[in-house]
Amino acid sequence: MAEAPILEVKNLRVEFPTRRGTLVAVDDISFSIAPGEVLGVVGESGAGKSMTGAAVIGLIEPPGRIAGGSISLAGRRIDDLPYEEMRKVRGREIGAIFQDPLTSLNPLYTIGRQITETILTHLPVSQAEAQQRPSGSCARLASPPPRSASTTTRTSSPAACASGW
Amino acid sequence: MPVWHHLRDLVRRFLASDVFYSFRRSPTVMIAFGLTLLFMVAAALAPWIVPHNTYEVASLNLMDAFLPPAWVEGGKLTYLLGTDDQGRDVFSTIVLGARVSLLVGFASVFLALTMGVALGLIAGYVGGITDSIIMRVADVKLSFPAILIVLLIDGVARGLLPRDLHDKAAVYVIILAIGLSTWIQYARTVRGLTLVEKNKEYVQAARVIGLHPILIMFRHVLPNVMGPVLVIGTLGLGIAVLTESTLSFLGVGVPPTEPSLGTLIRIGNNFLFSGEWWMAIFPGLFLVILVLSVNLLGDWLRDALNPKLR
Amino acid sequence: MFAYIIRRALQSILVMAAVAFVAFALFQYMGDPINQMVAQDATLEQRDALRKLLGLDRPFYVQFLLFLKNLLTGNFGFSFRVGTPVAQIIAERMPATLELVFVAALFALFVGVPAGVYTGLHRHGAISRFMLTVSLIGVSLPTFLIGILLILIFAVMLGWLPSFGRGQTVQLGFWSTGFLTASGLKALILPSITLGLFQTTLIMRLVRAEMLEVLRADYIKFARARGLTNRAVNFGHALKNTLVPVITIAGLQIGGLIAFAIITETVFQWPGMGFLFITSIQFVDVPIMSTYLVLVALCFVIINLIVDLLYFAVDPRLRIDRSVSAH
Repeated sequence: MAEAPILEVKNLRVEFPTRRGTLVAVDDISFSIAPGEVLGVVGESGAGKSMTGAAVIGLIEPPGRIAGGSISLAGRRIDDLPYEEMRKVRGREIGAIFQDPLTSLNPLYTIGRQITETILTHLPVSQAEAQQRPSGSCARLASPPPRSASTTTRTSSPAACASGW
Repeated sequence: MPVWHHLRDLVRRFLASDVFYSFRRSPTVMIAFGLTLLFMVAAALAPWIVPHNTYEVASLNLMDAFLPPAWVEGGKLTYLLGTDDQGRDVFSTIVLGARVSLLVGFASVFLALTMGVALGLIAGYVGGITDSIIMRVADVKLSFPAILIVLLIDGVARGLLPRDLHDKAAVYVIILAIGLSTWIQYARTVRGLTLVEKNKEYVQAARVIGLHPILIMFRHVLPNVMGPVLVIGTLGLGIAVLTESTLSFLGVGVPPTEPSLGTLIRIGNNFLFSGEWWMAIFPGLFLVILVLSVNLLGDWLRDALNPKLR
Repeated sequence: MFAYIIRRALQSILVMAAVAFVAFALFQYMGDPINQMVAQDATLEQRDALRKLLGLDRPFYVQFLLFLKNLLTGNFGFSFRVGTPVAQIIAERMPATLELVFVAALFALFVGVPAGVYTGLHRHGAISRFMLTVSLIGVSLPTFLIGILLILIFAVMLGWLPSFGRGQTVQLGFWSTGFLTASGLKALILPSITLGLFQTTLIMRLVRAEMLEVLRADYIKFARARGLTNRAVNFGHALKNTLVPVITIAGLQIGGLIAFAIITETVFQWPGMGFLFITSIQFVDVPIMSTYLVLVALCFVIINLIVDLLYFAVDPRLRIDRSVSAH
């Protein structure tokens, strides 16, 4: 592998202090992903797969914390960034898609609004420009007609469109 | 004896549980529990431990009326918190009054709990028309505040019964009224939980064995739904005591011959602005501390039993 | 959607009918109204004549229908105690209660909701802990005690505000308002705080609990994973989802205000319907009792209906689903 890895995780350790002692959720995990590469992490329930993912995007719920190791994105360390800096990375450089698409979106807003919301948060585009983008993505995913994504709420749309940018 | 072993196991399991752990770690809750226990014991033993028996009119000395608390100039040590307009020792009236308030509180919660849990279990387990009927009755109550229903029942009783009979029965009327207006929350909660438990395997297994539905409901499902019921019951005790004291304050509660904390505040209120503050403030203070302790206990219990917060 | 509205409307009518029946039963079985209305030495013939006049000798169902007709035309009978028409007494006292309830409700909403949001967002802060402790005490204080204490501090010791009554009121048609005079406004302050305090603490704890629950949801996690600002997550998503169920319960709490007004009015000698009701219970003045019952039930039914419809309008999920179980 000649290319520099886009994501590099070294000796990651995630801990949870509990009343019965410290629980180690992720114990010394290391891996690297090159550009264009897909890494599948397999394990039984409770093995720590979701926890690893949460650590990478910096969303471990306190009192859990990253107790050791490092996470680097395109050569730059992201595990020790302050919240606001990490927030700018999330969604723009790292995307996370959760297991259950039906609960991943707010039921009170349309899908389109939530997609454009993310775009508007990270890119300096106008409202109109932001609204053009979802149509393109949804069309590529071959799901329901793009226009309706802006007016349907997640309850009546297929899962595929709900999880695309 | 197997019963003894069973109890000992239960106690041991409790002491090792998360619930007790969180109890030990919270000094506020321990104080609240201690205070509540103290109040209840004092109230139960009231007739024997009060320094003065304020019910006996003959023992009252009008010359001792309107005395301030012992630490204020003019007070007497034997009347620790002062006396009222008829020479009654305020401390004794408070303990005896707390007894009445707690009696009404416990009895009405017990009534509401038994009714609500039984109906909730039946509605949830049996389902069908029984469920619909019970829930319709609950729905009709809508959001009518308990206090209105209580006032109504009290008003009706007042109208139906002749004066002296009403005075004697007043306590029971209030217990009935508060119980009847609060059973619904127990029923709703238990019904919801029963619906969930009904589909679990231990219930299916009991059915396969051929156990009678009543046995299944009360011996198997009930212990598993008791947690939230206890929380509602504890908080309900506080509310019942507040409701009773409100009724007594308004003059439609317990008869003045057996005053509760609310009655005492009502009487004291008349003298509050002329300077004899102790007659209303002390019963008020005791009432608040009592309800506060019960509420703290209930709050802690709810958090301790909530699996999501662990 | 229309099916839902019609079903709720029918349910409301059913409840009102049941309440009317109870009110009527009160009349039938609580003492002989004739004895209440005539002088001690009235003869048997005079009592019989009055009975005939009032239609009290007709069969049960006829009297019930008459009762319903009277209710719907605004004829509520005469007070046993003072003899004047109930409708008139209630009309005189209603504005007092309604103004009090209105101000108390505003207080509860504008203090309770922000407090709840704050303690939900800043869960472990010192200010939050303080507010929660105060709210716990607030829930443990009976309304009448709050009233007494407020009177003691602000009226007796400090002398800033009046301790009883409505102050000066201005008559606008049939409505007497206390909003237009300084003394009227001052007189409103203590009673509305007393009335609203319990609901404020309830709303605050409710909003907080709901907020904490919502903040745990998957879509909040996903919103953070998308890099949305804290403001967008907390106020754009969490708050809106919190307020939806809060509307229901807060709306129903308004009903509680009408009930607790009875206590507050008694403590402050506020000339409203609540004070009237208590007096009617003490004197077993059945016409006033039943009329109050029917009116208050009507208020509750209407509030419930409005809240249900509002919920429907705000939560898009209910609009799409055909069959809705409201409870």
